[in-house]
Amino acid sequence: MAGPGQTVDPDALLPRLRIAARPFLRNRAFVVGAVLFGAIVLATLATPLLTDRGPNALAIRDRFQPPSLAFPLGTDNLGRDMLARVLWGARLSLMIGLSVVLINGVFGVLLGAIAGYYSRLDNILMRVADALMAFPAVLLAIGIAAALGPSAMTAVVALSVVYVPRTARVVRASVIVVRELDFVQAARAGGATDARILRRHILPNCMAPLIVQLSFVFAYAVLSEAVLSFLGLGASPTVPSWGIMISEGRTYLREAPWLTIVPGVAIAITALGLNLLGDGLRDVLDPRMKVEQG
Amino acid sequence: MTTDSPLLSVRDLTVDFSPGSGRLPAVDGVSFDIAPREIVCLVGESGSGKSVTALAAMGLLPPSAAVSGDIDFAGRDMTQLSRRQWQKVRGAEIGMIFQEPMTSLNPVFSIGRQLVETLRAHERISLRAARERVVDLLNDVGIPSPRQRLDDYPHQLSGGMRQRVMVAIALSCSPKLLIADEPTTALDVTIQGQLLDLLGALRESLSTAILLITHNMGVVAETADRVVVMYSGRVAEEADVFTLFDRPSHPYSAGLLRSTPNLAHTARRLTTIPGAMPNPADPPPGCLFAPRCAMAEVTCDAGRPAMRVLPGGQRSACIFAGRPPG
Amino acid sequence: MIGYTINRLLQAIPVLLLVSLFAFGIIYLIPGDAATVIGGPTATAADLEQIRRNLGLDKPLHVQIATFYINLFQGDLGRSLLLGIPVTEALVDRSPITIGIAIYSLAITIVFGLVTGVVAALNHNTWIDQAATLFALIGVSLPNFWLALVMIVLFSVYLGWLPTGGYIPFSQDPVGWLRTATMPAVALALLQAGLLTRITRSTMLEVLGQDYIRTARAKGLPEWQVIGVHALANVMMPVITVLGLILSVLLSGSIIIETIFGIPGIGALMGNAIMSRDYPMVQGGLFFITAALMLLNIVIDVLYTWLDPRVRVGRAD
Repeated sequence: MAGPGQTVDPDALLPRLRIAARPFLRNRAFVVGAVLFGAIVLATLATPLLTDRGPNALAIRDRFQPPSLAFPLGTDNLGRDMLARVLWGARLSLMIGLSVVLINGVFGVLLGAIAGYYSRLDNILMRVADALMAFPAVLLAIGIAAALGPSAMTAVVALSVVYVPRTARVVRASVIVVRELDFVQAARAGGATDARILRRHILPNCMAPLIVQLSFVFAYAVLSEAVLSFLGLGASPTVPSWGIMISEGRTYLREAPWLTIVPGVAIAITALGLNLLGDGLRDVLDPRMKVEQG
Repeated sequence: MTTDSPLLSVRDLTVDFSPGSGRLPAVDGVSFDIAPREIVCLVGESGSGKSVTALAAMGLLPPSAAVSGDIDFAGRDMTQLSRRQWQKVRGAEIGMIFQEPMTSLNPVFSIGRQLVETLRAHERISLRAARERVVDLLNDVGIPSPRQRLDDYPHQLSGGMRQRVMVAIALSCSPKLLIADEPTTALDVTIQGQLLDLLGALRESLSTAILLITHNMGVVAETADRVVVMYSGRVAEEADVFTLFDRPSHPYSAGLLRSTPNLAHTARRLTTIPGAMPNPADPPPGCLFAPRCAMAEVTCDAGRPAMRVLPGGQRSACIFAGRPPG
Repeated sequence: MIGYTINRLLQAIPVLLLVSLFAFGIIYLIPGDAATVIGGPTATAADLEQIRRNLGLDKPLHVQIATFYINLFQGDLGRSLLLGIPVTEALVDRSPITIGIAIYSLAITIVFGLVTGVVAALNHNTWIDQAATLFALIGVSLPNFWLALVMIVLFSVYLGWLPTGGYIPFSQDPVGWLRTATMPAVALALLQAGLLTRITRSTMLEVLGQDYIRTARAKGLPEWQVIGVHALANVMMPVITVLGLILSVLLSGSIIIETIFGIPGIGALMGNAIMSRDYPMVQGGLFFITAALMLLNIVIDVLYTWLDPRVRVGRAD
């Protein structure tokens, strides 16, 4: 990598990226995961192209249609097109997942770096993290969401509170290891400020476990958000969310099982893709990495 | 050398981990004998194929390895053994100790248990009798207060002690051959000497032959009856220890001897053998050592030299064998 | 050993304190007036006052906290708004039901997860390994409540083998219990078994590459002993550590699974409490379940310490 003060040769960038990308592209888990997740993302972005029906467009005449050519994923009890609903649900899940990941990225790194670097703060921060992690994850999320009231924002906040401690732990573990390395001592001896040391020297070397952890967090966020909306604690029912769709489909389990099955498959594909991505990333970056699961 | 038939006879052993790729095999056409009660040292740098040879002699190579050649032990053809038959041989007729005593013992079982299970795997013996035998064994390998140590766990013992336990395990069923793969490399120098003495003493008391693998010429000088020098998967030279140190017949052996620090010549700068081992993917066309050899000539690049037998039994894979080394 | 246990228990106290604080504080997350939310749109001003008095919301904060802890020490977790009975009583009453299904689920998880993980590792890089890994991956990627519904569709609606829900106590009819508990147990076990398979497989692969396995083979031990005794003994340690995580996931999952199958356990209790804004129940339940989980984790920790000789017996030299 180019050091500070050196310019990066733009002509060399693309071949360099290609070389850097090679081990990832060779890892099967990464590729399959990327394809699956990529498909979901693409479908979300291309929603207007894939269907011109709105997710809430009622068409009572066409209710309970099983999957067919006209309605590729069928229609629900109000005649709404399942394909459209699933696509819009994808948008919601991805946005909530992404928000949770971003918050994890920011706060997880911040808190983890502070805890890892400053031993005095470490104690307090880790006690709080331990307390939050002592709660079963989904239980805590549900509890918080129940208090805050149902909305997409609630889901994001609740899930962030649950997962940030775990991410912070991962970052903290790396920081603790890296901070003892020689080049950090050298930087400190050279008079660099703490912030600079963290930013320039320590954190760039902690990225690998963080990236892997964030993939898994995205997967858990998608799954947990589904639980929340299934229980009516997530986004409001006017916005189609996969969890709500499963919950609504439950009433018609006998007559129209596809109402329940389809959104679940969508969730599974998204989570599977993200988990595979996480696995692949870990295999390429460091197969012995221990990541906080659950 | 000896009039009895050899205990272990290796003929043209070839081990290839990537058959068909054109890469040099890890072991290529290696042949040597070990007589009963003999200590033979297998010497070479890392990558010379000595450990792989040892594993082949124990049948411990992974199934993906392509093995050809003959390995005869006590008159039996080992290459055709089934897994069950190998289990009977290993531990009972051939014992093996490894380089890393710190990790070679199972950390969650007591050393007593690990010794007892070896005995009971090969002999019909009661638990109590086995424990008694184990106490004696631990005594024989020089572990103090063996009875108290039976229930100790590996992490409670030092590296030297653990290696002694490994020796005890390997010799517990009185095997005819002990294979020791760099047993002293991971130990302190002072402990090294003790372990080598132990091995020598056990050779006497148990009449066990020893195949000692090492890269340390000092160890060779101290323990070997005969020496087999390996380079890049092939045998470079084979001789009895005195002849080897006195008149090495292969430039590689000569180089190894020269680069061993010698207290008598402290003023001299340490000699090294220039260059590095050949790249298995791109080997030299002729003698594998030629690129690093001071005596190399054009003929050396023509083809792999055949083994010559010199008067006195010494064997060498150098076309200049018999000439004094340069 | 005893010392270690006491040490862990003492270490847990500050965390438990924080946990109770968080559980207590849930009510304060409610935006706006808690009483209004609880009372609902039909509550009169008098009703709201009553609610506030019941929950102690009319008192200053420090009094509330003090009252909370005083009650906590006496085992009083408040009174359920929905059921009208003490929270502690409701929780304790229903624990056996959840515990029963939990044990059933754990049994499935452990047998399945361990066997699959070990078999996958022993057949590394073959189709068996790929299949097992894929299965484990699917297990951790499927929403368990969705799986529960799919199972209901398949086994109850179409095949009619199992009831769609309900619960028959074991003491009343063991077979009936099995019939009502199986689908919930399996739905819970899927995610857990997936996690266990992954950990078991990777640990087993690591163990198989260790030197002491090579030594065991060099000793001439039969292969079943090398794998089944030497390797497995070292796999058990990390696996036990994962148990804590699995229990946590189990408890989380119980909420939805019990709700779907109509099982009157702690999970459904919490689920109902949350849906009907029964905050005392939510607070008490959060604390109770988490405290129980913490205790179980300490037990697991101590068990691990006792089993691993490297920790149990110190270095002698």
